[in-house]
Amino acid sequence: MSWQAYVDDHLMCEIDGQHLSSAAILGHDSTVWAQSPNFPQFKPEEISAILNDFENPGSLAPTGLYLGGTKYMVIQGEPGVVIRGKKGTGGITVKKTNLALIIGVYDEPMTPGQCNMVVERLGDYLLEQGF
Amino acid sequence: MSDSKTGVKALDSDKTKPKRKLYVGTQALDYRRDHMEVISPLKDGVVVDWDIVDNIWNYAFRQRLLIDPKEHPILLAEPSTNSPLQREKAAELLFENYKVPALFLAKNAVLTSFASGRATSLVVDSGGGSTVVAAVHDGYVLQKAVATSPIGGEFLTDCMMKSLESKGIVLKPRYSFKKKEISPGEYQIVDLDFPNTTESYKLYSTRAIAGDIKESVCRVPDTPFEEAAYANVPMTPYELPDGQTIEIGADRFKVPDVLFNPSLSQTIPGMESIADSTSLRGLPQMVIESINKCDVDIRRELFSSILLAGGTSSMQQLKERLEKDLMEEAPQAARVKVLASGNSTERRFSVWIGGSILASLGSFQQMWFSKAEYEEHGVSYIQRKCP
Repeated sequence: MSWQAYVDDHLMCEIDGQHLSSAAILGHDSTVWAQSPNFPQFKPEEISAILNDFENPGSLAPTGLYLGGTKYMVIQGEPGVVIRGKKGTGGITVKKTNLALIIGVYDEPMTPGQCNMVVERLGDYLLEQGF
Repeated sequence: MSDSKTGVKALDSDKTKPKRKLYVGTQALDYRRDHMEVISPLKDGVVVDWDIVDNIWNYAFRQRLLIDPKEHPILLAEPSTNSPLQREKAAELLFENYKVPALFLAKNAVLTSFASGRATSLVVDSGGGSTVVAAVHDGYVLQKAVATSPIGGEFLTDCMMKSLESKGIVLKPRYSFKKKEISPGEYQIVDLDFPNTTESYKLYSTRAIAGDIKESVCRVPDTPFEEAAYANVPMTPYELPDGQTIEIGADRFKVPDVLFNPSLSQTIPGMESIADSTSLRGLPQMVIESINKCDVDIRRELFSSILLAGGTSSMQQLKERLEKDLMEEAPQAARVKVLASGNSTERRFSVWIGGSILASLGSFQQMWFSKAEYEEHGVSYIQRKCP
């Protein structure tokens, strides 16, 4: 299965009638493995800041999580595994696997819980496959 | 979860029978029984004994609310610093034992924030067992911006108790005496002896009296407490249950000031060893600490919406003193506003009120973690569904 198919069918899928506004699978070196059409343009520094937060949980909390220039407030995630951010009525979930970062961006009416389910479910599957 | 004051349990530990009898609730506590111990499942606001919690919930559902939990989704309020393990334990207990159809875990600070109609605020929850300061933004607690301290209502009650004891005042628990009318209007106190009363019950009853003294006469001083300044303050009389009238002077102001200056507790005889209060921070420091750990963009908003919640926040003049102390320590441009609902019942139960508001929102209905999802994915999914 191609990475793009993972994004289109498993991340941008419908859950309880909603879907993510954008999603992507990136490598740890900021390369794009696949992304949805409207995924924001991000900078490599933003990705390294995210990776740094997985190493040192809480480093992004005072400054906020940036992606494509948009700032997200960091809320309770799972140290070293998942980072969850909130921006107004929407937010972001980032799950780290061995080689990749799965990012899901959602907006209302989708709930954080639903976004977490989609992103983390795929993350668990990739971890099982060795990615 | 209930705080230790309302959910305290009693058990009858009769040595001959291995099975113990459990009594739940404050009504059960008012009646003295032989060998009855008073125990609380919470320590510093965190659950340590799940067995007791199971019993409390069982009593609450079946004896008091008279409902079958199978028919009602449960919204459980949890401490803002709850660990993932505790959340999973709670979810497991509810789904396995009580077979609830759906569950959601909400953080105390978030619910308090909703109770006041705000999605963003800094919640200062000063309860019985501990004080927690948490920053809530758009309905979610910000990671790392939570400060806790073991100083709560119970600590202050202990300070009051030790201080009175050191002055030679004996607080007689209500069960230990009887008032006999010797002539119309005149009473004589007769001491009763109950040798089988446990130490924990005696302590509980004494604390109840000290707590009442604290709630009726204590006031937070306008400026930090100093022994010399308050040495000549007029004394306030207080009548103990056994008819004895005591005078309380400087302690009226000293005990509440422990919230702002924990090292003051060291000066109370008997309290020196209780806590390593050199590492403890006062309320204003905790507020500043919590806000400084937040994003710079929202700090202003947090300073202007500081919410007070919890039983201890009903202490007289607490709001005014906190506001004053924060205005001195906060950055120049920030506008400091401390809010508290006027009704002390509302402050004590603001978490429950917020939960009631959240659960009735139409937009909340899709956020429940259902039994089907629990059975399909297991308890660890609760971390994803209830961030």
